[in-house]
Amino acid sequence: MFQRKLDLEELLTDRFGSQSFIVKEYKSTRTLLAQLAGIGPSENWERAIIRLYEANAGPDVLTALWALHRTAIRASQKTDIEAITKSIHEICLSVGTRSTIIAIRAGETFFQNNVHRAHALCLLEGIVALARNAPESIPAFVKRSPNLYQRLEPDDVSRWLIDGINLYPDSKQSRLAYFSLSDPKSLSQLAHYEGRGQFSRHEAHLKHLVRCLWKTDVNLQKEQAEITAASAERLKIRGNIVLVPSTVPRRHKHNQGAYFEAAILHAAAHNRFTKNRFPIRGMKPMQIALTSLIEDARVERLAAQEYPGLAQMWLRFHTVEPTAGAPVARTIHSLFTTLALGLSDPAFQCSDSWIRKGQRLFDAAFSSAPQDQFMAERIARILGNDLGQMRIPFDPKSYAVEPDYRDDGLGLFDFDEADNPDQPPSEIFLDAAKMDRKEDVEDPVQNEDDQDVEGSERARKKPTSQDEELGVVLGLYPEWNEVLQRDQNEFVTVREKSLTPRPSPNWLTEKLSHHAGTAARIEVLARNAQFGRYETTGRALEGDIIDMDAANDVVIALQQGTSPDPRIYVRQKRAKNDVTLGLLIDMSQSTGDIPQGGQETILQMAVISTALLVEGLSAAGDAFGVFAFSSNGKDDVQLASIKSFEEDGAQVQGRLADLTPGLSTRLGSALRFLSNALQKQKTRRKIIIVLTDGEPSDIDMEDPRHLMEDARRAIALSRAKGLDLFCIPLGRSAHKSAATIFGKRNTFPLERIEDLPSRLSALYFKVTG
Amino acid sequence: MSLQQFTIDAEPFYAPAANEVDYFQAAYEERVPILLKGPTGCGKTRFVEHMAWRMKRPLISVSCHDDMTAADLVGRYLLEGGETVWKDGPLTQAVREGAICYLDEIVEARQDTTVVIHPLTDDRRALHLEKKNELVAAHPDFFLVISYNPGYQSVVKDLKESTKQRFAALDFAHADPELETKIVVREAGVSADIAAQLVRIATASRNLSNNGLEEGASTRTLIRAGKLISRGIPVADACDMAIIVPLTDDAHVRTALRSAVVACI
Ligand SMILES: Nc1ncnc2c1ncn2[C@@H]1O[C@H](COP(=O)(O)OP(=O)(O)O)[C@@H](O)[C@H]1O
Ligand SMILES: [Mg+2]
Repeated sequence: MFQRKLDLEELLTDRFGSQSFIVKEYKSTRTLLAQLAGIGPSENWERAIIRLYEANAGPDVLTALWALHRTAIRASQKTDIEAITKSIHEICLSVGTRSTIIAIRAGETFFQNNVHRAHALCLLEGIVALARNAPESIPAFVKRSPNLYQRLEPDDVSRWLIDGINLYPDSKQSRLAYFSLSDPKSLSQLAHYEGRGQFSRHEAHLKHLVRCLWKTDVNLQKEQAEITAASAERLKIRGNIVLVPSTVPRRHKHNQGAYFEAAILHAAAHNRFTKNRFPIRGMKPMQIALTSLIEDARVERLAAQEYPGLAQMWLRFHTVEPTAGAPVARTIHSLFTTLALGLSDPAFQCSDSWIRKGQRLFDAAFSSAPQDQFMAERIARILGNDLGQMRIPFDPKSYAVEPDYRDDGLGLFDFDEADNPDQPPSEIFLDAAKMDRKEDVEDPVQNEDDQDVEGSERARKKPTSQDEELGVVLGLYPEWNEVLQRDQNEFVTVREKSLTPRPSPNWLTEKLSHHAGTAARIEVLARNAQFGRYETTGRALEGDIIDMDAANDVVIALQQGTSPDPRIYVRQKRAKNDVTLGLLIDMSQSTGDIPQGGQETILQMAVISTALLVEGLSAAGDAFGVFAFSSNGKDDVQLASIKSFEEDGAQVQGRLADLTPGLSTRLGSALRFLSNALQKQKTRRKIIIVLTDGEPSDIDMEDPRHLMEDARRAIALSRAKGLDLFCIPLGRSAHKSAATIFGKRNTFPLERIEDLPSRLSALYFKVTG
Repeated sequence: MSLQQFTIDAEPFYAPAANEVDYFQAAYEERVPILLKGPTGCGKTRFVEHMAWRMKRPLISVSCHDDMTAADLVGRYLLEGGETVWKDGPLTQAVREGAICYLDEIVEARQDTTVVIHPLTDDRRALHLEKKNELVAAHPDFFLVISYNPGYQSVVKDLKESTKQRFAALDFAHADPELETKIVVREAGVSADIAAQLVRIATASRNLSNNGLEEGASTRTLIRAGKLISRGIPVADACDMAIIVPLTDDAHVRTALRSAVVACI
């Protein structure tokens, strides 16, 4: 065994001789690291190498690692070198020299090719995981890694990798197949992560685009495809929801955006122009497919009448090569794809008489009554008959709508009418029926309709966790009694709700990473606010700038022989810290709802938005406090202090991440508490912003008007003390009551809850700017 | 000092949307001050210019801004060659000599500024020059017009209720597509086809107002894009330069608008 020596050079010299290759390599690496990254001889690096040496890494591993260090250091920093060494150390502990060197070389190639350093570091971490659990697969994974990192985000490569390890814990053979990409499951997982990543990247702009063209919102929802789905799926329109499966057809990174645009605009065109659902009764699968093909062409042509550029955009996705005169193969696939092209491109000339017939029928019907959607059914019947006579078989199982940006077409049909026992349910039918049932469960539209009723129901239910201990009393507050028309003193008890800060990373830090753009914009707002907020006082005794009006008056006074006013300066004072914000977040039960089309609960959105605002506030140097409230009757109004006015912001994110929805909304008492605390602050302006999703209510209050009036009174009293109060109602039902309570001009409704992160900060900087 | 320079000789082209020309004329006859409400770049300034020409009155326009004080409107003492002279501001000049005074985006100016116009808008029809201690009675032909963009929802900047109620208001909106196309053809010198494309783009962008954009593309930006196009710049690039990039910095909204442009042409 080796004795632990701290001088690596000595160690290596002892073992290999001072003139040996390895000692020279070591010295030159050390010099380079010191030069480029300021890594001194006695730092972690040195110790890490010693550990590696002690773990029996031979000269080959060491020299390869140093070569990697020398390459990496040009593109990265000190901590990266440490991370690399640590990874290699772990790999070395689990596998032999050969695999370790493969890993090192792979890392080196990544750094050499100027691939983002994050990819290289992630790759090495991935290999560590393999070294521990699937050492046989290291070479296979390394070989495919450039391709993988090109297609997926680094995090998703890691997820895909862990999936493989978890799928086959006991079979080397299966793992090898997975990591060589020859296992269909491996491909479907890959497609899953790829599709997922890419759709999220485009979602925001797609929503804007649809709204821009048709002034409506599409309700886009991601659909998690099953792990076995190996082939690409089509979008699905179900009611007013557009489902985007994680396994949509793949395009190269640069073209995926165009694919999604074509797909979502096609769905939006259905939304706009397919007014009725086609009754399914009596229809054979082939007819269903044809009807939807024709309806696709109709809605696209109508859309292109409004927006001519769309025709060209969609045409690009047709893959049929129109070779003039060549016969069209007598298969469903080739006839249908050619017909789709023929209906979309009026200039398309085809030798096939069936296609020409389709074109003729469609053009005639469209020019006489473009709005008549049932032309699709009629034409489909005629064309379908012809196909029947040609004896061309239709296999619903293998049929896929083409071009592949189009939805699966089943959403256009009304399956409820299909209870005809004579009609054997087709494959398509079954699938669709399955879908419909799922929709019943998940349909968020329904949830929203029920929201009001449910909200008040919930408020009435006593929570089961009654035996939980009551929090420390923060204060007793009056409450307005609308019937008696007077305050009832010391009526309400406000208690502290304690929070346990969640260590980072947590769900919030993860979500925030998707809001980098908003964060950057808020920072600009904050910076502008910092510079912009001057207080200018004219006619001051001293200052940096001369008040031209005043100076004029002086000269005039001198001329007229009167005595001049010496106050001729303008004083500009940074009004930087002259505002304190108290932010109050409603965390009652109903904020646990996910709004229509959203992915986060209302409370989560409020939390994300607050975290972003907090960054901005810190950048602007403004004082603030953040609180959340809920209530369980008048004796237990719960107040969580996320950041008191006195604390610094260190715990904000951890505590925000710990907020959970529950109980009711006794707004007035929470406001009284916050208003009291805020009044003690020294700044000239004091602002309260409230984020709430509904009207005040509580379990012990039957008449909702009571708490509403109490909130109004709390606000009126606070305003009389010089506080400014605003409200951002979250969700449509909150809007009216917020306007009643806070006044219309102090209520800032959102079109969509996704706008909250940017709007909250914008509002703050607007009212303080 | 003469108002000569403020008279408008050639007819400024204005395409009316409804009866605003007659209504303005009637308000003028009765000297009821006018408030023009509407988004930026929808023809308010052009309308006032047209009306001034039509009624053969000189027009003094003032664009109001953050730093504007009452003195900038009313006037101040200045030193000229060792002597102090009072110099009328644009408002005072219009009041004395009987011009139409157009205060564009009055909310932008400091609060004290709006107060000086109050006595001009009621029966007093007079302007008080505080510094000079003079009460200027308005010339019979003097007429006050102000504009205001209600789209900029702002807590701090809004017209006071007491100010608003002193005016009769005309509502302006973007012209309907057909009319807007004609305006663009005429002002930018592009073909009706190109103009129609631009108007489609603008209409689409307006669907995003308060929902990604503060306001959609104005007629003014369309005319700019049209002018660039008539210089040979491709439509998509001209729209990028004149419409999209000035309108927003949000990457998603920009991408959406660029695709909308492609859909429109
Ligand atoms: N109704 C209209 N008639 C003629 N030109 C118009 C009209 N509306 C807008 N314009 C054009 O749009 C431009 C911007 O209008 P402008 O009057 O400056 O807008 P605003 O004062 O409302 O901000 C004008 O220069 C003019 O070219
Ligand atoms: Mg379709």
